[in-house]
Amino acid sequence: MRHLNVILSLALAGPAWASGLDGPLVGTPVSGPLTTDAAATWHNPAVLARLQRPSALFGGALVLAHIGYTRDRRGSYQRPDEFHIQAPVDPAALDPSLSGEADPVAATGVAPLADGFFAMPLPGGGGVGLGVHTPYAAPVAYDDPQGAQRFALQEAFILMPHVTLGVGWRVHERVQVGFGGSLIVGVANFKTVQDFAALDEFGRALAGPPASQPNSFGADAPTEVRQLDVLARPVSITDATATNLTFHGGVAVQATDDLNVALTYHHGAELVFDGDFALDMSDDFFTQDLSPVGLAYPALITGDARLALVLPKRIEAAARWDATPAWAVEGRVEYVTWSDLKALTVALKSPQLAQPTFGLPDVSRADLPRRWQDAIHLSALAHGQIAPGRLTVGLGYQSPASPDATVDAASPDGHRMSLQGALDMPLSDAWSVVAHGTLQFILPRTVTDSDYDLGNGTYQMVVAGAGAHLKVAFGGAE
Amino acid sequence: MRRAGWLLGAACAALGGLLCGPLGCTEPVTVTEPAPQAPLAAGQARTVELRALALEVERFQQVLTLEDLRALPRATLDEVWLLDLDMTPLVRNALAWLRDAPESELSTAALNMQKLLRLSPLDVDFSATSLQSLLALSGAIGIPAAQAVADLLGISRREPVLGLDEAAAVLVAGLIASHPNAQTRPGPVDAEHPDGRWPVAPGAVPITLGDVIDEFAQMTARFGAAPMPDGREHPGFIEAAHGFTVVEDAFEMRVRVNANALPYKGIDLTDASVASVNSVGSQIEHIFDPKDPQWLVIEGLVPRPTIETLTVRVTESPAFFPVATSRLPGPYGDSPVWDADPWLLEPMVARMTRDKVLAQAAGRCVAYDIGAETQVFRGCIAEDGWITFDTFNDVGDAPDPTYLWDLETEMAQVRLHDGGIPEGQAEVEFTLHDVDLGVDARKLLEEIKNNLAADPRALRELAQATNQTTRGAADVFYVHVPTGDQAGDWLWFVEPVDIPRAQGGDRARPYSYPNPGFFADAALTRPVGGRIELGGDVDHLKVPVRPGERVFVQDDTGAVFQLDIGRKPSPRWLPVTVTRLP
Repeated sequence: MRHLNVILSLALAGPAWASGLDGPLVGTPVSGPLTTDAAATWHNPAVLARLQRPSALFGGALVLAHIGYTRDRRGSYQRPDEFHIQAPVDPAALDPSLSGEADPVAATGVAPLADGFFAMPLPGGGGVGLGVHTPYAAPVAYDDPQGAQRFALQEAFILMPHVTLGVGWRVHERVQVGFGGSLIVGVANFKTVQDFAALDEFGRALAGPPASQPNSFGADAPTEVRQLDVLARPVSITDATATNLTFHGGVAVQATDDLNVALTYHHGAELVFDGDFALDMSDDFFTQDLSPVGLAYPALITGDARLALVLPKRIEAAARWDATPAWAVEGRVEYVTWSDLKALTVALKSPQLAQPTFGLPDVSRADLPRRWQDAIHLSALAHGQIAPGRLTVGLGYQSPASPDATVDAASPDGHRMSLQGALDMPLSDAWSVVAHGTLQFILPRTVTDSDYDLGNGTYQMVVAGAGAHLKVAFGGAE
Repeated sequence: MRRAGWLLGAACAALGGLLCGPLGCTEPVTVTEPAPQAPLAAGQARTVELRALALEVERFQQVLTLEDLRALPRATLDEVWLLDLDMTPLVRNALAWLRDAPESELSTAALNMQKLLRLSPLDVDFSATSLQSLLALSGAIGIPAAQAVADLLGISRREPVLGLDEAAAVLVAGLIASHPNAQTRPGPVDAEHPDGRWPVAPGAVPITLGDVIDEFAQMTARFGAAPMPDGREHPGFIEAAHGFTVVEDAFEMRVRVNANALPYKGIDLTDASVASVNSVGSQIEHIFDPKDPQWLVIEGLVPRPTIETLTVRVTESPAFFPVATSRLPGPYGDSPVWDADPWLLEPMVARMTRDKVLAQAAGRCVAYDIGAETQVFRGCIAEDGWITFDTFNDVGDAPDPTYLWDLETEMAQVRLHDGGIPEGQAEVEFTLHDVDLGVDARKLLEEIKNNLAADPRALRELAQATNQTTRGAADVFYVHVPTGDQAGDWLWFVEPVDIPRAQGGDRARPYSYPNPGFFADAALTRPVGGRIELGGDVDHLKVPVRPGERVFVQDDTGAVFQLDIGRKPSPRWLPVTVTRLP
């Protein structure tokens, strides 16, 4: 099938969403598979069975995210105002200035995140919890929309809040199990510049009748024919929403009086976003110059967009050793199956896309290869009782999901280090406040093996958050 | 379930809306259509940016069906001259048909023409001719007059005097080749053809793509009565034509080209707006590769083109042409038939017989004896066709000398008026049915390809019309030459051929530039540039330009504009500031 319009859809490069932009926290930094708080509804519902009193945890944080990217062009490019469609390109048309490092671009923004959980014990040794939280979020807007990253991303706004219900129960004096389910509600918006030269369907449309022009366009187009002005078409997907269900479960075991271990599993989910797209085709090449052979788009194409993403599965193991009544150390290991995300699937539908002479229908679908790899998250925390409350500090590491071949400014990623801390200060018997902060950053990543030179360069990312949660224990001491 | 889905969707949208506020949502891509520009006022300036984008297509194949071609203006199709069709085979076929047609199907005039074609010495009533005296002699010498004439011609008494080949050749030369539309045809203007008129092969009629597509619907109008350049009126030779079978419904014309498929960008000076100018025409000299066997493919021509009905008319002179009485003036004597218009029947008959006589009978003598070698009569035809008769031994008076063809023309004139047709009214008009055009499709194609390969300019209008990329009404346009001695930026002035034709065939706008071209001064007294050959184009006035330079032009309303070339943002962009001068 020939889908020029796919072109359009593909472009929506990887949204700025990868393991690198996992939400920095759900609950507090203390919350986790072995933490008995209401956020266990998400982290490990088995722990809900350990609740003694109904409790709530709600709060938020301001998250500062900074992405820096300096593109390093390692391929040969023709001058952007040229239009040689087949490689090799006449050397006279190549632009020597389009090599080496481009001007750095950055995306810096502050976003609020909030969540809230309520949980209560059940008769018979169980517990149940309900929460609203956002494990995935990515608001990104590059400071120079026309910068060297524009073919990957100009801006994106993605949120995937979850409404989660969890139930845990005690199967043994020292063993609890739990299950939960989440309603995922996704919101996505993207804006980027689509390089039509990278679209298989565009290449096929030109190669087939009536144009019948051999060309080098397509997903494997060499750099010589990429990033031409005429084929650089701005596109946006807005107001895209998605819903789906997923589930998770866990087990918590008090192995000894001092040692607790837990194992959790979060199932993934496919999210299909439906929204609107707008594609700027306002170049005479597309709107009128080839109309005699049947290629004539309106200057602005609008229609329905569909974007399919896959959320990974996660398996996490945690162990906490209560070294003293006041101090404990905890380790967490998580395996995230980002390899489930082979590609992003995008479909656009609009009668304005149809170009019957070129055999192009009004709808098309395409995949943007991501080929992400599974990631390992490691973290170590120390909990200690200090005046005036209980302090938790931790550090962690997350391996990158994006390989060098497909990483780009839309999904910046790398070896991520994290530092976090929280201070849980009781305000009363029922109330306490947890002030927390987190700092995550990737080790500066230099990529030289990007497919088709799309993402070569140096990446930086820093995510810092600060906030507070209120913890409430209802009912008082019995 | 659907309601639940709708509610969830609404909830999502609401959530997105709620969060967008504080987080800053993505605004959809929008496009602002340029507003129509008001015409430039005197003294007003406006800057436009012209792009020279080139999409060099290779072996691009344009397929034109019968439907596609019929949708084009007839004038465009007529620009595509295909070949000069030799009419001799058609005429010969027509004459053969007429000669053999059942008499019952013919009008009196046609019947007389048939008689003419069948005319043999035996058919002639010599009493009405200059050979009247031969009748008297025939009794004395014992030889019928018809036999004497047949002997002189070297034929039998029943053999037609006029051969079909000679008749066809003369008819083509006298009737068809003399027609003004069979002498020249429209073609490209060049140094050798400054008036745009190209000679037509003698005895042929020019055939255009328009003729083929509409199956010669305009044949009658084109080859009917027409004024001659000298003021005379040619009566024409096709009275009516109907049912040409030349193309099938599946007719298809495929042309393969190598060219820049994108139009040039130019300026409509009136409002300084960007317009597009078809670029194919200026590339026409080198967009075809005649070495490529697929450069032009025409399918769907019928194997043997035919005409369902064809009515041919040959006009007779109102005067009777007597035979020559003198050998002078040479070479054909003093018969007035040689001064008559060549398309009239009588001079054509004279030419037919002249050619036959000169080819077959010149130098021939026949003599008749009585008894033992007593010669009584002798007729001799000299090398120039002058025939003399001699009688001996008082057998009677010999006919006066004359040219043999005059005698035969006289016989024909007499024969044509059989049935009481008055002199001058024996116009020969006959309708043929299912006549073979005399050429097969293969030969037709070969000739068409050869002609178009030799002069691809014939395809210019067609190529432009079928790739109509002209938009707006540019007065000047931008051409960028990337490499070579002429590398750089050029401004070209539009030519009439750059203005597309409307459906009716006329140009979409008149070409009414008082002073086309570029000038160095506002008074338009110092031209710059010229018809410089560039990329094979010599038709356009053009001038190389560089940033900082200034030229002056005048548009088709007479307004004068100053064009200032700005600093180029990249090699293929040219900023031009247009100022309308007071």
